Amino acid sequence: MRVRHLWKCTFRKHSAIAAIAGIGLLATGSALAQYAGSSSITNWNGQCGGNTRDWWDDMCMEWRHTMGNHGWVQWWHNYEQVQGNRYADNSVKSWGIDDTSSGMDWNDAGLMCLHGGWGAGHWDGTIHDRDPDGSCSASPDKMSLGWNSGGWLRFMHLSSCNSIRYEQRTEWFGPAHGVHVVTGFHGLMYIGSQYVDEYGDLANDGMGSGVGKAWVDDMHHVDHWYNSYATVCPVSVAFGATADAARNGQNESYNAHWSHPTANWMNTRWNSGCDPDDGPQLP
Amino acid sequence: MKTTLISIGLCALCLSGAALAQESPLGSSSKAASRYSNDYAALVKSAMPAIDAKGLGRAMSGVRDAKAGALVLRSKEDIGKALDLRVRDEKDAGREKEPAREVDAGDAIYRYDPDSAHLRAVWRTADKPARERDAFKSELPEIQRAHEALVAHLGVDRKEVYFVDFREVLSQNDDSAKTQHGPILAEGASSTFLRAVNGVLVEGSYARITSIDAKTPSSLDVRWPAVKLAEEVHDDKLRAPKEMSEAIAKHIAAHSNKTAVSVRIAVVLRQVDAKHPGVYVPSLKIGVKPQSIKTEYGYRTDAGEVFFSDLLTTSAPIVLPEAKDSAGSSGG
Repeated sequence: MRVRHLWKCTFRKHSAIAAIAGIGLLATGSALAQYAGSSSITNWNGQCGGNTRDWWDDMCMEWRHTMGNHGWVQWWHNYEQVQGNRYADNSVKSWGIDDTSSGMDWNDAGLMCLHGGWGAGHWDGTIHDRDPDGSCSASPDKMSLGWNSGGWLRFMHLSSCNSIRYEQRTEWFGPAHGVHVVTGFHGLMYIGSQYVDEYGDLANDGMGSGVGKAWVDDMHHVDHWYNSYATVCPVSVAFGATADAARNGQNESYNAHWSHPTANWMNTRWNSGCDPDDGPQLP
Repeated sequence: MKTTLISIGLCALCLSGAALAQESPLGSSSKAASRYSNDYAALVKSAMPAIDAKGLGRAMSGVRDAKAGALVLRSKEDIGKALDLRVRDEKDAGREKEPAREVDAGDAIYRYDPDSAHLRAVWRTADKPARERDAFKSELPEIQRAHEALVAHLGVDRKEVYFVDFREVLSQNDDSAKTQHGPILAEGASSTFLRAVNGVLVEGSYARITSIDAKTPSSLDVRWPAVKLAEEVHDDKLRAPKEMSEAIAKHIAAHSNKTAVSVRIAVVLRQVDAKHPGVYVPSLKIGVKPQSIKTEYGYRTDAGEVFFSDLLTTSAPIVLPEAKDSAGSSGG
């Protein structure tokens, strides 16, 4: 952990030199390992309520393990350890610790797996216990993600209902301080054994192609019930200094290490007409 | 709630003859998705598919008789030909059966597992400018035909395609001041082909293709194994769906904290074990959709749940996860 801080300080001061040195260190597979972090809850048996979902940790673990198979260091804090301070930045909330080794912004790619909601004008993820302000919600207005806020996240995945509700997508500008891509769902998403593979697919596909594009491909799901059917609607947003740069951000792979974007623009990607449970049909 | 828009193939039990207007006995009524309650027993009862043990036995006989086959890919040459990729001239090229591994074919990277007939490919395609959506619409029929032709080349049997979900892939730019919202543009299109054998949906067996246009695929995911029934699938060991009502209602009650939910149920074929790909048992697929809850933050929309209850007297009533993660570690 100390090494990670050292590298970061050095990189900030002497970015060009450190970048070259970093390439050498990466080749040795030592100090500059990338972190893949996941947090999931299956049973809301703390202060905050939610329906039990047995398979959620399996889904998110599959992504993390697959990232691990590609050489990434695994970080995880699940169940009762999913507390609000890990996902809040101390520039917004004094009790936030997201940039520390205990926080989500410690990771290069992160995945949060928890219930969500949308009525407050933005996504509210349901954490395990109330945060120091008495809230049960992890939300964009408490976050500051990425390099420019003292963190590391380049890719933030949200396995959570309404995490990127189409009409609320621009709420993700708020926490975008160096994060490259944020992915989530418009409307309701589902938990179950048949979704586990999709999270492994995302990790595999995102190594060789755009993570944002892979999310929209891999997480689109059609469940048929003979007399009706339901779709799950993944959405990805990528940030950039220009509209073109933001659109190109959908092509960044996990290992690409593009420069950290200035979030003047966001590009949102989705599948047309996707009509989820508990959300309006997408354009 | 959506009703089926495109249903292709032979759904012997739901689309035969004069029964076209009737709902399938293999699934819940189309009204089930909009019926919310916390009386879980009543909800499950009303959502239970109408098919009985005899009907299930007939359906399984039909599945057995169908002898549904896998993708026709037996070598790298086959894959190269189907995907129009260059084949590396290696000593093992053309082997009848190869272990699953990633193959770099220049224009694309693919992985094929012959045991599970699972093919994934991601193409290295140059980005094409996003297109005006109205202009792109004229390309859609050709793209759809190209997707159908590709899955046919891979060996997807058209009569097993139950449903096709075809969509454009779209994008939109917004500026951080939230004053400029760009037009919705087209990036490509995607098809998902769901599979049924003798009209019974095969859970987890599908083909999905995304492409930039009719000639430029970008990703492919096909899971199309041969479908065999497990040895224990015999008439005397089948359970009628309604026999599972109590266990299903109990499971929902234990997971739903007395909140109102809706329930959908379908009879499907479920792969018993990843270690034995292509071996299936009849199972109930149960979808639970919680009603959104008003909270101090707005609306909490708990994720839905999908779980399975196998229709065999030898099976546990509910399929539960084996693996559990641990509470935490900060890596390093």
